[in-house]
Amino acid sequence: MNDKNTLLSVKDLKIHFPTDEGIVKAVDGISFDLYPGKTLGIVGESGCGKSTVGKGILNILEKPGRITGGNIYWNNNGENIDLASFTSDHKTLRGVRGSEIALVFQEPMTSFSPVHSVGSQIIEMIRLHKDMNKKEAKEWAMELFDMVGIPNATTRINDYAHQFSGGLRQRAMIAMAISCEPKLLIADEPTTALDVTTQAQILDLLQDLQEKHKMAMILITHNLGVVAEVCDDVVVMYLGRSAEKGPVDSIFHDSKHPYTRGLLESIPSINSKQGERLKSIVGTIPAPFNRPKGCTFHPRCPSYIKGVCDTYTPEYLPLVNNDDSRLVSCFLHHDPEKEVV
Amino acid sequence: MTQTIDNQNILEVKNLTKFFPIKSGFFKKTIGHVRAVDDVSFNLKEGETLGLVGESGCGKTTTSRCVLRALDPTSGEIIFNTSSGSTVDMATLSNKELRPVRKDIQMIFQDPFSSLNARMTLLDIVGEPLLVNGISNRSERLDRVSELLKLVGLRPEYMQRYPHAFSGGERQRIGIARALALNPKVVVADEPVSALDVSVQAQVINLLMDLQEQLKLTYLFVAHDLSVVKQISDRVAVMYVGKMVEVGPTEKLFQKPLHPYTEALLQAVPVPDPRQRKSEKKHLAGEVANPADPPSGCYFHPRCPYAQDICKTTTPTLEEVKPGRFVSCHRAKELDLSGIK
Repeated sequence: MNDKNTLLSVKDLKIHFPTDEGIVKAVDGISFDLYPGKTLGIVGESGCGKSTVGKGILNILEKPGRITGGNIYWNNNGENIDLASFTSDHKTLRGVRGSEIALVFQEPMTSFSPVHSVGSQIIEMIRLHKDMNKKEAKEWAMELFDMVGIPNATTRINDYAHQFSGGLRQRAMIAMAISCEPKLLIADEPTTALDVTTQAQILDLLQDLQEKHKMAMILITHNLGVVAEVCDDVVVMYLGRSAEKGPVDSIFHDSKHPYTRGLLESIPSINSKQGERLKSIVGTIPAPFNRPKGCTFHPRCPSYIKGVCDTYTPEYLPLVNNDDSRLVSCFLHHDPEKEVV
Repeated sequence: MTQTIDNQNILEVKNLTKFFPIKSGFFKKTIGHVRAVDDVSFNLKEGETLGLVGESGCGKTTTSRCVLRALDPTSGEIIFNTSSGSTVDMATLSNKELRPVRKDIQMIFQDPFSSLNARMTLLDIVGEPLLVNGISNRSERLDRVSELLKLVGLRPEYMQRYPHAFSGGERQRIGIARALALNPKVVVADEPVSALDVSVQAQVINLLMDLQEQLKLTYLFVAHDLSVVKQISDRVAVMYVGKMVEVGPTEKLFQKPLHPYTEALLQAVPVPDPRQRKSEKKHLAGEVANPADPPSGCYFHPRCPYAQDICKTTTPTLEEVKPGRFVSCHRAKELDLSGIK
């Protein structure tokens, strides 16, 4: 069921939001494996469900969202536990959250409480998961501040979130996330709210910490530049499903799914020529209640096969038989006849 | 009012400053100023795109708003060649005198969700500038609005719909149609694509480039994303803490920046190609200076790797060091900075 080496293995995860207007299938069958010390990038446009995956792993979904199918196998020191099988307030899950899997949010301003000092929030987290007294926890928190590059830790620890700049706040957020030395750090758009120079600093910091602590990381982002810079493997998501997965180099240089190719061609690169026209993907992302039939990408796809892509849903299969490193869900690469179920 | 303006320029901004007072205490005494725009000069040539870049808080939006007189500048001149052939200093015009000038210089906003009135139909939104400027005949207005919608790639039949029925990219097209309603000469676009998804962003950039060619528009394009700016701009102006630090032709500026801050910005942009990961990382340390209390001398000196004693004491001025290339750095002539290959 799960390879011994994987740290986290997500299998066919489905997260649905039942609303008055219908069911929003935010995540509709996504699978990936993560190995210790590696970085997995999850990319996609807004509304593709990438953030929901991150929250789903820890089961901290906003209401009325819930996991409706699939498994999340977490390698708990050699023993596999399925995180998806617990209710969100289960003791086991609460033990994993924060101490083994930590999450860094996009908005560093709203993630901290404005009425408690940043230090006290970090100390609270440390004391919750670790057997430390107040003094020890404070010392550890100050050490963490040094580690993430916040100057004057002794005074800064008593400051409130509003006294920190965007970059420093994100550093404090990271300090909090790594305070229990997690095995996996999920970073949800960690640099999106930041300027480029600060973004570069934070990405450097994450990579350094990862190396030092041998953490695995899931980086959720829409920025393909960031992915190219830090990830080992990439999952490309479109409308709640994985379109393609593979090592970063092959995703960028030998992408198989038309959506990935379209995405790569449509980003302006700093290396591109001035005045050059960009190729763009036609149309827009469909509304959540109005998902196209068959392959959800087919109305925007330049190479869609009539009668196939608009009727059958492609499965997420290896590109070459039995090689799990490259997976793609597209009829251009799989024979539809074999797949129709 | 007689003003002189270089023939090829449509707009000249000279020594523009905008200070915002910081008030405190019971009597709201002014205790200081935020120097949002501090002695900025540049010009816009007819038919070109000038990209204005910088990190958040550097004053690029304030500059663009002052050019439009959406904000009243503290001092300086904004000399503009109107479509009626006269040359005016927009900084000193009264509101009444400004009205005829306003139709020559229009704006596209960043957020397509808050910049369109949810209670107005497309016809009302795009037709409002026409109505205000005296085109009160309904059928004439209908014709013009449908022509405008076609121009930006929307179907004229949608005229009676409300903005909520459209996606982000389509809304941005509506905003563009509204800006073009009065045949402006200059369009100020403040982060027009930063709220859009990558696949849609490319469509809007292409549209802006097509419109420029078709209607001979001049753009002042404000953005923080250097890759987007490179794509669309003929020339680029870089701002740091309210000051213009470098202005030059796009390709040359990206290939060989003359200001250390430009170099740092370019180095920080992640390249969407894993094969070009930077092996040695040279990232800026520190944070953007506080515009209410800027450092002495060159504002960039505390973060500049090339700073010398002169940088701490003397403020550099923007000078033309090579034809068409303006830079504000004491060491511009001796430094050999690296750009994007």
